[in-house]
Amino acid sequence: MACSPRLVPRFTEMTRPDRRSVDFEHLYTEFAGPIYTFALRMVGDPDRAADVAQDTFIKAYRKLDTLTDLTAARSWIYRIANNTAIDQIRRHRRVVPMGDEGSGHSQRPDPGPGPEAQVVGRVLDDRVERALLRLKANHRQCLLLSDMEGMSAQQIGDVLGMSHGAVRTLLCRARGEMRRQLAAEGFTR
Amino acid sequence: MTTRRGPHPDELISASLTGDLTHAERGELNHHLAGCEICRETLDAFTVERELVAVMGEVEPPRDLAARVRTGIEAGRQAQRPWWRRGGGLVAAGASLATVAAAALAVVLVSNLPIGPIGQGGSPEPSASATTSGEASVSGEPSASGTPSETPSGAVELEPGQLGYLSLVGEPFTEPRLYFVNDATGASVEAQAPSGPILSAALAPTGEWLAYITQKGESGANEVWALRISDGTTLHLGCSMAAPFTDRLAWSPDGVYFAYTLVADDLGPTSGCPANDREARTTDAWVFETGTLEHYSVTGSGDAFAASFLPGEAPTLLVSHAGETPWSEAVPLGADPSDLERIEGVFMPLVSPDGNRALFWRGTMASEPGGWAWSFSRGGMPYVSGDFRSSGPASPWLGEQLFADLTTPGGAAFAAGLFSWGLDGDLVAFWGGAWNGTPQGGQGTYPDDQGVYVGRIGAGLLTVNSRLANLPRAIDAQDWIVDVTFTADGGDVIVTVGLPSAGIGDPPSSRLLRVPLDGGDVTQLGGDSESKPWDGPAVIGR
Repeated sequence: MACSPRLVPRFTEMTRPDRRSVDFEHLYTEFAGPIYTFALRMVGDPDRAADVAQDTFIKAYRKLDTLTDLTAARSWIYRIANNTAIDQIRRHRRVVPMGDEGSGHSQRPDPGPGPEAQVVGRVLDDRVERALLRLKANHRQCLLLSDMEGMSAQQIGDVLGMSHGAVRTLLCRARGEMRRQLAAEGFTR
Repeated sequence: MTTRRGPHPDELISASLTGDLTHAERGELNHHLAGCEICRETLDAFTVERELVAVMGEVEPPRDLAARVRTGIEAGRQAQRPWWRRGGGLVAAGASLATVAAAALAVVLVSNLPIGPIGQGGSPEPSASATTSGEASVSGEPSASGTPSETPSGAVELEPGQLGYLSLVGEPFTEPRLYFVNDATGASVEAQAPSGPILSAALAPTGEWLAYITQKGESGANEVWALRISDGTTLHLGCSMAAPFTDRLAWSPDGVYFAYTLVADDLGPTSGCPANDREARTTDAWVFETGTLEHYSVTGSGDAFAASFLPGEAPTLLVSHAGETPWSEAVPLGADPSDLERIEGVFMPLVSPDGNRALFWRGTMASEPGGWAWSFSRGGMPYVSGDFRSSGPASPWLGEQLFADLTTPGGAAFAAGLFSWGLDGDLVAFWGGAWNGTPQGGQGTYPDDQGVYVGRIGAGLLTVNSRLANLPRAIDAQDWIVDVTFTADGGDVIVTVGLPSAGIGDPPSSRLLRVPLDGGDVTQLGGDSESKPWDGPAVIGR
């Protein structure tokens, strides 16, 4: 989730002959968890998320030679993961939120205390997840990269191929939409 | 509490959460927040939202993810390659079949593209994707979309000797576009896009129609199509389980009939490939009539493959029957079949363009359980017939082995393979040979499934030295040979080379290479798309 500062030194310390396999192993070690998590939040299904993560790393392996700027590894792998997830979503046409989709969460009152007090726990996770999955894919990817991965607008722009300004606008819209979806899940703020 | 008039700076509020504000923006926002309750609520809501997403936490990936990635990397060269054309012949094929069957049953389709009806005979509905090269919808496409010809000029129909090829471009899975391109004029016509790469193609002798076979996504099935080149009318002629010897397309000499092979299966009601009237996993020869646009089965034995047409005015289709000892028969279309001629031991004869000879297979065949997916289990070898005009009392079908220096110790031989004729009826090419025995000669690499072997019947049979030496320099070790077509003058072959894929999600891609038979430099055709294209196979105008 957080930036992986160890990755860059490891890359640069490698000698050329065995760099590809070693680099890839490090890449996988550093990013397997974050990429799988990102994929899961994007597609909303563990099996499909595993497919996305698998394809992401296979593509990364094949394209490792194109990664000339080693400091850009994080944006690079997320760019692959994001494109792969979007492909996956397009193929499945729609993401069905897990649980009782379409059963009128919007009318459901928040059963517990304020959301700040319940930031742990599966129930809360499920509700946030459902809200996320009802966002447009481009809103969801932007929000995840910002709030889950802690990327700046500039870094998100590197991943999505967008300008800094466009990312700021998109992120604002995504937050507005997420606010509405959270309200539909019973969060009152 | 008062609310400031004017637009609320939501974008600045959003950017403030990640410190993406300039000093001036920060000042502007603070000033606004001091007097705007709505924006303070927005800031609170955005802050809570950000915290809720941030604390969702990292999820442990599946334990087998690393193994899946490793397997995927190692299997990259195999993806999209027909299972019988992978290394190891039948031995490897057996293991793959479970995957193919499972995939077919699960209907793992990557696309919901509209597919025309599969018939129990009848007239397929033309697709609405008829677009000619001269129309704006083709010529106006931006280059990023992968349109092969931005400013088409001249006719798309091939004049004698001109080269054309299919090109599948665009965003894979969501916006695939299929074009037939006249390489000489640059003109193209768009056809209905398939959900997978093109495995084989055959141009009608009249040049009016193009028949081709594509993979149906990742379902383990193939689809057969016919394209009317003049207007892009695309007809879907059926689905087939992918199996050896089903990628042959045969046109009658007059261009009226086109024959193909379907292995019946039901991929499900939403697949666009419902069951036809044949029992599942039975193989039969089908025919499409260009005049009536009807297509129908011409056999019902469940073991029949469309091979090629005999020369002559009356269209007569050679049909091969798989079995331990295969055989073939001549089926006159539109005539009483009572005078059928049975040709023992001959499988999938491919009559030369001049009608004087045929390439065919001999050997002992075996099938997968259930009697489908036939291939050679012992002694499978390609043969060339004698000259039908001067064979004397001996049957021309006795023939000679196409490879003069290959032996079949213990019955080890080819499980399957592909061959083609040059237009002169003398040049022959063989490729994609699934050799299931011990390699012979050629530094232990003969015959090589990545090799293309070319020779002239009049100058002797194929040998280890017939392999095109300039092709390996132009391709990578993991590439595979999809198709080989001779140019009209016989000076080159146009080779469709499939590139390795990373598997699910990675679009299929290929290169179309012109390979001079004199050993000259290999050059690439097409490939001007910014997306990964699948270019090929090529066809030649006659």
